[in-house]
Amino acid sequence: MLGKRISGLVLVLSLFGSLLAACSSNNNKENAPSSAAASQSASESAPDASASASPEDKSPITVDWFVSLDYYKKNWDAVNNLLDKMITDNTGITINFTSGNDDKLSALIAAGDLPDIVTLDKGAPQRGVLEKSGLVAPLDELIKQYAPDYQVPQSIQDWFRNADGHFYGYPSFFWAKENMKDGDRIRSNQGLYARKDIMDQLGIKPEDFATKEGLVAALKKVKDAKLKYNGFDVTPAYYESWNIENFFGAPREDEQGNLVDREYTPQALEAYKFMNRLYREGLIPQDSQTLTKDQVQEKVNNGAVFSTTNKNIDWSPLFHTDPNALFVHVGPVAGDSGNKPYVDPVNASGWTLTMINSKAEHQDRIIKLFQYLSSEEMSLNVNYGPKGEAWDFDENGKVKQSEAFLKLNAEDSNQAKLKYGNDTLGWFINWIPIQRTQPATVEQDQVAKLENGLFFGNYTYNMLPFENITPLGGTEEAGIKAKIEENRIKWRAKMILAKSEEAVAKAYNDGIEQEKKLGFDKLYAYQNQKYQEAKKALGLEHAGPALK
Amino acid sequence: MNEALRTERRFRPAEAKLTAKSSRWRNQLSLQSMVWPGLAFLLVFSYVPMYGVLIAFKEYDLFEGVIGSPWVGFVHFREFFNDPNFLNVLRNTLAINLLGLVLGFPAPILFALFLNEISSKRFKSFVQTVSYLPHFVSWVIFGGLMLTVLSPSNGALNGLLLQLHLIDEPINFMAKTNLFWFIMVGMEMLKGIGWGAIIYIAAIAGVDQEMYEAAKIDGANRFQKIRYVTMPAIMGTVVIMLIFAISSILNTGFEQVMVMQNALNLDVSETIDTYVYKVGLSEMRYSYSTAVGLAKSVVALVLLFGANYVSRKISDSSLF
Repeated sequence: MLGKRISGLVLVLSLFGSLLAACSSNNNKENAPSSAAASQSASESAPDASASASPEDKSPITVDWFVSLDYYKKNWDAVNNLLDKMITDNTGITINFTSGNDDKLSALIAAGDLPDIVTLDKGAPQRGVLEKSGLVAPLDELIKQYAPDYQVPQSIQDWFRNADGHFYGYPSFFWAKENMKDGDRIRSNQGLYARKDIMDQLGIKPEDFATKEGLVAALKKVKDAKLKYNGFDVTPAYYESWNIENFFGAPREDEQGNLVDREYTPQALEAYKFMNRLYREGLIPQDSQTLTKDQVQEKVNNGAVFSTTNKNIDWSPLFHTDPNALFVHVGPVAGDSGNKPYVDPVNASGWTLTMINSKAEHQDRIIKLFQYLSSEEMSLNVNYGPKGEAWDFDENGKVKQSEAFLKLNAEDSNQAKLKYGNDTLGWFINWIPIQRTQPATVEQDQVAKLENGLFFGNYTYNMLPFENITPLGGTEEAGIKAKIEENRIKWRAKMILAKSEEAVAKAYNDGIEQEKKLGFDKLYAYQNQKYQEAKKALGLEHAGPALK
Repeated sequence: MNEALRTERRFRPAEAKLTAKSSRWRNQLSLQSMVWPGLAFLLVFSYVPMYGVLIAFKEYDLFEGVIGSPWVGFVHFREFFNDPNFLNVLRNTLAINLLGLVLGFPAPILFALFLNEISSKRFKSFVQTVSYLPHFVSWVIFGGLMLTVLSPSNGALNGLLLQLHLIDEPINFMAKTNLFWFIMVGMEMLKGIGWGAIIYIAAIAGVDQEMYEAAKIDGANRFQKIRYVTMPAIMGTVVIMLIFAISSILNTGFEQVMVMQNALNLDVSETIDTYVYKVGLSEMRYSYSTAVGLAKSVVALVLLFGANYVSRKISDSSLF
């Protein structure tokens, strides 16, 4: 009995003992490197803290960098990867990248476990939380303190400045007007494109797409020809309704300078009626409402699509199997109101923001890393791989990619990325110098893409004030917006796939009514206020595309 | 060791005065010591975090914390129940679950009964393994497979139906609003039938073989043996599983529905879980999401007690 009791006790004690041991050994493991790092940083930052912060400080440090995009993966390899080697050689910094979705970022924030550097979509709800909480450091103060010669374009500073007078993140793909020279034009991912080989075969001209009747007639020719390409039926078109709205000239601002939601304009209804007509005549398929972008991409790759509005759908794979299968710009189609067609440019205010944890150890070194990465030449380097190895300027000042790079890239583009690091670290990229120095190319698909981009570049406008109207995460307006977006997905599908034109009009009115119930007026009031504030900050009285 | 022995002896006289209860506790020390860590675990990780439901009644601010955030009363509950989409998402949630209860709940029971009748041991374990393999495939992959099978352009099902001349042109199954609930339940059954049957197979294995022998002597055939021996023997398990199923009637497989949703079936595919994910969680509206979760839990609790009570009255078997 006694023996049993003692053995029980021993069992329990050893259990607790092992638990404790596990804890303490864990602690030791964690403590050892961090305390070493702390003492190291103390010895390093001591001289740095003085005003004469030396940019030559290249002592090796490691910083943690979280990218809030779950597909992003990068393992820092300063030995084999030429881009990583170049950055580590020049700054002494090794970057430890981790990634995840916005939910993971929320978890990191809530756990108080934020890495040194954070990159997130500038529209992510977490941004406001980070900036207001003091979790991230104001960049302007860090620059003043550690890198006084770091020139961030004024428009970036103004655009991202909060009410507290600071700005907290450096954007990627920001089209700063300070960086623009004559001839630089902001690009668009929208447009109207069609297969050149099929147009030639059926006698369709690009101008045919400039009117509604012409467009319908052109698509009908494709449908009636019952074309087969590689055994696939050719679908006449995959269009997005909002692109058609833009072509029909849906205004974004009224005469008093108030914001207009494009879905509430007559042009929107006209666009839905037009899309519905295309559907009823069998020119756009039912699955246009359900396929993801990747699935449409696959159809394009198979050569089974005649015309699209999405420039992001890459048709190069198709071109490589059939050099005649080029997509060229056509139209664009105009509406009945006589308004000029336009396309939305890519966001001028950029894509991601990269911020520095206010408790990061090496803030001085990190802000210098920011400075280093945001130079124009580094934009080229992260896009193509290091200069000298992957590319160099030719006599016209255009980028010329090296033979070695092109060879490896043609063989295995993943291997090329591993070796040159091209296109793997775009969080500070400025697209303007890249567009300006785009390689002179003889590849027909590249020429056509360049040409398409330039053509629709003429239809873009200054969209900056409209990029300010997304509600902050966690607010009631954000909830309303999510509900309305969700409703619009259903609503659009219902209108486009309606049985008659009257049914479109009815569904349109029902949808508007439903949005009012979901709280549209409250959201609109918020958005209009934000829009006015943005215009004021930019010194504009009116904004939006020129329609006359 | 000596020390321990002496300690034991010193307390011995006192032990005589202790109540029977506490001496039982001491006798069970080795067993108790296994219960308490589990209980502590439950307390720390399941009960303590429950204070977080407070944010359902607050406007939660990440930096004010649960305690510091301002009270707002029932605002979030009101928002959800007054939402124009509320009736729609409630209908979809209930429809998918009730259909699942009617069609999906008996399926693993029947499967387990049939499996039990297979005499070849190898074939039996083969069927069992094959049937619960899909359980280990994630919904994203399983859903993707189903989407491919059901696809109107190159799906196997449409191909088969066309070959058999049952239909003249392919059906876009995922766009048919009247089929969506059945597709959901069918997928759930396909994926979960083998896994769900495990507990019933275990229950059947526990049935006394002598009862079958007795039934045989009484002249019972196979179906009568199932009807009069196996079924009553596993009824307790069935009832308990049914109580669980009823109490989770407001939950739908979030991933499953999310994967199969598209613009054309949203009217019948939006459930409470997916809706709250979209308008609550992904917009960082934690208070709103918690309020809906809390409301769901209250309903689940009521249903659990209700089902338990009814079952105790009717069948004499219940959870507690």
